[in-house]
Amino acid sequence: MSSRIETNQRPIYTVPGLIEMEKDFDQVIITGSYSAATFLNARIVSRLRDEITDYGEKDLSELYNGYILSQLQASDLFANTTKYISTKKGFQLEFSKDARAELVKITNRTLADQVEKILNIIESQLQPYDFLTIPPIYVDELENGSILIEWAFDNVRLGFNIENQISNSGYFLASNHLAGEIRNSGYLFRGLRLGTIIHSLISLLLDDLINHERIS
Amino acid sequence: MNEYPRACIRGIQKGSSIRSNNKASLKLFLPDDRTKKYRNDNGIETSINWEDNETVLDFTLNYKDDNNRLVFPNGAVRLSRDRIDSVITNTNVSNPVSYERDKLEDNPYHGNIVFRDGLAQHDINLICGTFALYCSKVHTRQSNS
Repeated sequence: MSSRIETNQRPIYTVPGLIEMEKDFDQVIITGSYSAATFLNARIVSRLRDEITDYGEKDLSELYNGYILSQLQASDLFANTTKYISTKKGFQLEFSKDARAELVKITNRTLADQVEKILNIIESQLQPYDFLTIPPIYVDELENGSILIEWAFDNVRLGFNIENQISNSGYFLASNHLAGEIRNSGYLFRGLRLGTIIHSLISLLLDDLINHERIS
Repeated sequence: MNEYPRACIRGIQKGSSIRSNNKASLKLFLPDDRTKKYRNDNGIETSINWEDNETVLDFTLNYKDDNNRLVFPNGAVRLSRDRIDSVITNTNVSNPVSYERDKLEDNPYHGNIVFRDGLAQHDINLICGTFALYCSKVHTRQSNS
């Protein structure tokens, strides 16, 4: 997967600082030492090295792409999101209430467990925030027995497919021209940690959630 | 006619294809796996009507099966052909979809969005999610009358 090809067309993946990140990553691999210009880069590169150690040889572009989406986007959005930190005790789970109700109906309990993991991670990622209008997540059991998790925002669509052969399960995120024209998809259980992938995806969503709060 | 119009119409058979928050689900655009066996290229199809003129939306909303039942009782949405072309050129897989005309005896506007053989499900979902993101609001027989 290559999200860093620049052509004479507008880049598809609008991840700021991607090229700089890539240089730092390459330097670590080649020299074994850091030369990160920023603390954030150093942290990301450090965790990438751990990831490589844990998982052995993996597709490097997929590894740093996941972390870039996670850490860099979160860092960029931090200044905007702090005002939404919740001061309430507990957490309103309205947006996932119906999805959890569907969980008990899923016939394949192995797949249902994976869906529950994803919902748990999403809820925990959003727990610090106090958005009033998070749209509902939907869970569907399709005719072939696979599970679709779908989350529709005004400008973004996020989804997960849990397949009968778990290793074929995946995710996608698409946004329109108002939210960066992002097109991202991949496998869920082939290398990157599930929490990392979801953290990345949520970070991309946060911007849209914040803008929705401003308008509504 | 070989040229394609600016938009196509996708009829809504199942109510679950439109979510409770009135947003189109990606399920609305998922291709039918059963169509693979009828194609030489092993592609799978999402059925559409090409909006060749101003009557096609109405035609779709009122289209009936052999038992005189509405095929799309839940309405229809419009999808710009530009968006289909955008998916073809701006997705991380090569030529994931194409489109074609496929006239039927009782439907001269019929066509297909064809998903190529071998796509991973998450890529299919990405494409269908993109279509759902960009399609129009739902048109119903009531709103169109």
